[in-house]
Amino acid sequence: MRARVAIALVAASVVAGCAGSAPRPMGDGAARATGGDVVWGDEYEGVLLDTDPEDAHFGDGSAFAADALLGETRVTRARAAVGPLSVVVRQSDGPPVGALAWNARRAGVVVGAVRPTLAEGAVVADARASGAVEPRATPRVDGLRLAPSSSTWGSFDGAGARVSLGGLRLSAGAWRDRAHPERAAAWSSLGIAGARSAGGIAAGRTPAGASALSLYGARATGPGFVAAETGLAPDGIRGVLRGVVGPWRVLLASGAVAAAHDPLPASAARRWGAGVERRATLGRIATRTLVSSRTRRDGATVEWRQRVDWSGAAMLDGARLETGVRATRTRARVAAGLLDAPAPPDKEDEVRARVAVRTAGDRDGALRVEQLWQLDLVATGGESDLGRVALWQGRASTGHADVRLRVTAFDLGNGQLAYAGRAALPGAATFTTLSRSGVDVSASLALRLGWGMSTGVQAVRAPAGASRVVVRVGVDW
Amino acid sequence: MRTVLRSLPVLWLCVVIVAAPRASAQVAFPSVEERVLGVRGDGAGMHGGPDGGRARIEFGDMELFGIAGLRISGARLFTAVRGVPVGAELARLGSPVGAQQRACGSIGWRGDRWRASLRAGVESLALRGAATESSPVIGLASAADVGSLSLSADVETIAGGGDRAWLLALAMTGRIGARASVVTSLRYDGPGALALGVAAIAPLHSRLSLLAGYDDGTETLRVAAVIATGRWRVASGVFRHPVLGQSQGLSLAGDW
Repeated sequence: MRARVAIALVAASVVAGCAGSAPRPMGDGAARATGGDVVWGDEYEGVLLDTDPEDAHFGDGSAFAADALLGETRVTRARAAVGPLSVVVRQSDGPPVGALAWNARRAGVVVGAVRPTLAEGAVVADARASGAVEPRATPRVDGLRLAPSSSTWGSFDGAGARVSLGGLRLSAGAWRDRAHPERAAAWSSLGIAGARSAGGIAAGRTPAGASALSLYGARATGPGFVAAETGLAPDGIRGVLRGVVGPWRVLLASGAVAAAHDPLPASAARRWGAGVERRATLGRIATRTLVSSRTRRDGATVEWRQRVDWSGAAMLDGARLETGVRATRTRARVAAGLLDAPAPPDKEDEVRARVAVRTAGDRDGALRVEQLWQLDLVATGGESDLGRVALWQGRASTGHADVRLRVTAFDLGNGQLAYAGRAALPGAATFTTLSRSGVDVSASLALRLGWGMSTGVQAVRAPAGASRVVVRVGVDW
Repeated sequence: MRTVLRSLPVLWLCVVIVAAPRASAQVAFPSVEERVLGVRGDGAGMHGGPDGGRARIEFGDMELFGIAGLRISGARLFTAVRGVPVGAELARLGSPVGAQQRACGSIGWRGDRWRASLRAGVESLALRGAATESSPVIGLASAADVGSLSLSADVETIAGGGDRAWLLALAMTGRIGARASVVTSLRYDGPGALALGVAAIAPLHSRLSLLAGYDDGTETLRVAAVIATGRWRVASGVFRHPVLGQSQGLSLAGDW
């Protein structure tokens, strides 16, 4: 009840505007994208592949878009936009989830399902993107920001508003966990942005009376920028320092735990991490090297993870060659003092390597064919066999039809896991976890029927032999 | 029996024949024989229809492990009808306990540095004392050229006995110099097997090439020689399995 009151109070205080703010460039410090976008799989902590793709792309640029996915799980989505006003809604197994937003240049309002973020994520972070210790290159520095969402699990029920006056930006919002209404918070932030600097302060409070404070700032420094945030949360001081200078990116984080279902972090889960990333281009070869270390304490368990990740990409006669190696060492044990005799830590070492080739060609300019060949090797400590995952994907598309076939064959040892995407309909990307051996086959066909209407079908044959078919019908005006 | 078929090496020699002189212009349809023989992977860049001519025909025969009555033979034809690549393939594995036969037809497409073909056919298994079992076969093969590399993929599904088997073979042929090639392959024939293979093709003379390779899935060492004369290419090879023993075969391919 108190959470509802808090939400109502904040919503009532809305003057105008959505909490989402336009990104403010602060220099050209972002390194160019390279072949470092290799998804290995256990990024699931931060949910890369698992992100609801429809939130990001469904209906983008359209006045109205709606579709229905008819399969084992039925999903209905709709998005409409008229000028600064937009609405998005998604209905799956449970009640509909969606948001109404009005987003003008100087003000904005959002009501419904929201994904809150604040500055560098030291205190409040998007649950869908804060898992890995990877320094972002984006120079944007926002205060409180509530993005409209239709994600069932990655959003909160809430409302927020933003007002921008020159360089001043005032945001306020409140939200609560959909499944646990007692987990709620109300936040507000005041930020100021100049030509090369930005900063602000934010404060939050829970219905139970717990408070939190955040100070953030950023400054462009010639070839890059530095951003920092320090927060005072109920469980202690948190901080994030992020810097981008030329090809280098550095991240130091304390307490930047994914804030999912924890609007005002006070949980036992804590995280400390550091990551250094370098992106470089040598001729036609682009490389990315990331060295990171993360410590996470979740209740009585403390886990350390060190990782070295290298990937590279090169254009070769019209094809894209991608390769990468990632080595991870993980140690976990019960925190000291909780056992009479400390148990030895659980150890897990893992090395993954990948090579992939992407090709694209056409036939008379009308039929475009894209193909992907990929081989993954997985080695884990304690398992003598080298796990193998072979993947081929073909895609043929014309202006009206898009056909995809993806076949993943795998042979993995005990305890080895791999992750594979699937051929999917637009806005319905899926992936699966692989173990042991088998083959995962997926295919999709999407058709544009004219008048903005489209339809499609996706078929999946899982390694265990189960089959699944999803039919999609939609309009996009 | 089917498993045996998929793990035996034979008309791979056809692959040798075509791959030896020029790997770039082939890759199109890994054939029935190669799949039956379990050597599709080696066949990356193997064949794909007429190499500048109107038609190609291939024959192959191999005795397996010195076992009387255990041999595999086959033929395939590739041509183009009004610019559309088409092909037909027949293969037969005879053994003392029965025979397996396979017939497929294929149709292809060619684009800018890529090729693809769709095939359909039937596989029949006739064991002595048992009814003949037939299974429909559908396959898709695709390939692309990237500089001096040729990449190929072959996906096939066979329905039968209330089950459906899926097969996948990926291969890469790298050309070194004018005619030498290295072929690496990855083949999935069923649960528990994702086999790697590697083979090298070295030209000794304008009319003579040698091939040597190893397939991890069948644990087979392979050595072959290819002689090219006019429109014909003749290959003879030996396959050595550490337990089953030695197999040997001959193949013949011609272009018009």
